[in-house]
Amino acid sequence: MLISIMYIYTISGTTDYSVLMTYTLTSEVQKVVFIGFVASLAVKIPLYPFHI
Amino acid sequence: MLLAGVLIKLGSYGLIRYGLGLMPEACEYFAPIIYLLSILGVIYASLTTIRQTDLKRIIAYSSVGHMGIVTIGIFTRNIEGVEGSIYLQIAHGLVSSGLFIIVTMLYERYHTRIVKYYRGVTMTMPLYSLMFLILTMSNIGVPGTSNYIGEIMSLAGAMEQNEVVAVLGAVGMILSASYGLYLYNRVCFGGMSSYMLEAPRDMTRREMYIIAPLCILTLILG
Repeated sequence: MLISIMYIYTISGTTDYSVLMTYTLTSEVQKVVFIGFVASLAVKIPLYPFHI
Repeated sequence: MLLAGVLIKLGSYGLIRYGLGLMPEACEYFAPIIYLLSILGVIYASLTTIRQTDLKRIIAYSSVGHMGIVTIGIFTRNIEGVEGSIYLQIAHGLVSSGLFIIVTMLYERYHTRIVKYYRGVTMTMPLYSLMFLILTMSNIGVPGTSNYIGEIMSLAGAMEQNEVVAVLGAVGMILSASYGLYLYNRVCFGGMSSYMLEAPRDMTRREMYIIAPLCILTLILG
């Protein structure tokens, strides 16, 4: 997740959420970043292969 | 208690806020695999719950199953699904922490968490059994409680996207009824267990003040 956030920061130049909402990421970037986010958030929500 | 009530919701908050807000296209692209993982989680976690013998483990594993429904609801990406998943998170936060508190009360009295040790709690602790029944019923998702609204809305949103996902998610609800009623039946009903030798006392006023707001909020939200 941290790597995804850093990647977003290098592309857009900000980590402010309200500024990021006005910024559209391209489709490929979204997919890469999404994997990073889900890999960390799925541990918090116990999704199946991550929870035990 | 705090882990089940608050911390678990952090993940789904992140998915709603960053997943749906920042990356809508990726959410659409990865929705099928998340559905798959959620359904596997719902069914597998519910089946794992059925064979647990530890009171706290039963409740902890049951929250894995319910959070699977929440994830399905989020990734339907329509109004019913997302709203239902938010509602289910609130409801699950109340019910799950309530069940943990109630199990801890039993643990304080008898110092064991094995289900086989307990029998016939209804005879000596009627008030406790009533609160336990309300929370168990909400955990199952009986109509009239808050979990029901969340589950039905999440699954209705899933039905709009994909029927198979909704049907398999509903199978998880049947399994959740099975372990919920199993837990309540074994602990509360039956004759008094001969192992429960200590003189049991019903809920004290302090414990009642802890548990009553959770039960009342569950019923009001439903």
